Amino acid sequence: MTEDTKDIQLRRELALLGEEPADDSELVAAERLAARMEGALHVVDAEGDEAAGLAELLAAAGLGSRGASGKGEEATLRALDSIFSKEEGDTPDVSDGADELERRRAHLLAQGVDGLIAGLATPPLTSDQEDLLHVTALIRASVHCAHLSPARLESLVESAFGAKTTSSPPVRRAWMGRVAMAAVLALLLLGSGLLVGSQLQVRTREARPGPIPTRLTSRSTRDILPGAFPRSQTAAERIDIIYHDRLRSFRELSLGGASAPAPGRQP
Amino acid sequence: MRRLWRKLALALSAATRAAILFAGLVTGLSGCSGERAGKPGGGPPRVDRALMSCLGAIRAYHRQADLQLARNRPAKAIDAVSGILSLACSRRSNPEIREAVLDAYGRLARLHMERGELDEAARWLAKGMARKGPPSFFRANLHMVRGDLLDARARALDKAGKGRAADALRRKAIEAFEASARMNQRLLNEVLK
Repeated sequence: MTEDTKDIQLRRELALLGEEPADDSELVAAERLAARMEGALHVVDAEGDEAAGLAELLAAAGLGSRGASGKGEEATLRALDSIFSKEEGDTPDVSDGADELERRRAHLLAQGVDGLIAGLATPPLTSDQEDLLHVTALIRASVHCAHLSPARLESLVESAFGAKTTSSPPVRRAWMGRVAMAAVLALLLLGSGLLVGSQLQVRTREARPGPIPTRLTSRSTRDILPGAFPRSQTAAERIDIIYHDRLRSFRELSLGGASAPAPGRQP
Repeated sequence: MRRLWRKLALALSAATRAAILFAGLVTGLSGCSGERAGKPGGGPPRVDRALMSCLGAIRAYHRQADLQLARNRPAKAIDAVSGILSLACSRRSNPEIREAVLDAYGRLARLHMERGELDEAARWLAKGMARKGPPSFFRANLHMVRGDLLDARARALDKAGKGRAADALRRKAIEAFEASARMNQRLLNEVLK
């Protein structure tokens, strides 16, 4: 790993932690710290108290003077690994350097972080790495505003609005289904209504009596009081005649047998 | 779940509309049937309780008038006959009632005439003649009453020494009797057909 690659990686890690990129003085201090962790403790002078403290901590853990054979990156990873392992109570890895598997894992993790930042799909990771990636995403989300790449933004918009555009045909189908169902229901009810109506009409026709005789209807009294009224006939006598005639018709209608003509009477 | 509720609501809405349509259809059909059943064959209405009640009331008023006349109280008799015209059922369109009401006008005119109240008799007679209706024996009877009234006026003019005017009224009375006879004859011809 070149110095530029280290610098980029360091900047990315700092970005993940929400820190500002290191300036030149901090980079120089970091280089000195790395050199000290590799065993070159003599390079460290008194200007970096924090770095000196960390180096002493590493030395106390037995790492400071044993990583001289590895490169700076490997030593850093090893030191960090031992620190975290100590914090978690694990036995520190005291191997001389990172093997090929560890490097691959680190590379995959770095790719995952890069992908997460860029909004791309992450490579297949182990569960521990995925957890770490998840924590990284949480830290980044809590510290930074979410800057989405145009591709990510477009994919999100498509996933959000694409659902509506793709769901319009089913909605139309659902409406057509409802309309068809309502039409069928209306037709069924209309048909049943027509059927019931026709049955009612038939029953009414059957129950309807035939044309009632004229003698039972309300009509002029010319048939019972024909011609000029005699002078001796009073209005009271005429109303008596009318009343009795209509009373006979009314009784006939009320007591039944209206269709049968009364004996001795013309319809 | 939400879609299910929406579908259910739409189905209920459609069912409600269809039910309203169905109810309207059935109501319309039954209404038409009921209308036909009320007037069988679309002819004249049958004799019913309302008609009998009205005829009974008219008959009762005439009976009261008879009794008042028997008690020699012609004014009370006039009041009784006037009660017929104040009956609400006297405005019904049944032919029997129309004719009975015309007869009441004729009787009122005669009652006033018998009391010498010729102008009042003429007023009631004019009211009766003004009532709308087809020709009938009762309307012909009103022409007879008019002739009698004109004759009574002519007699009054004779007493007053106005012979010419009385004669003119008697001619009018004859015309009234002829009008009554023509109407009766026409109606009799129709009855005897």
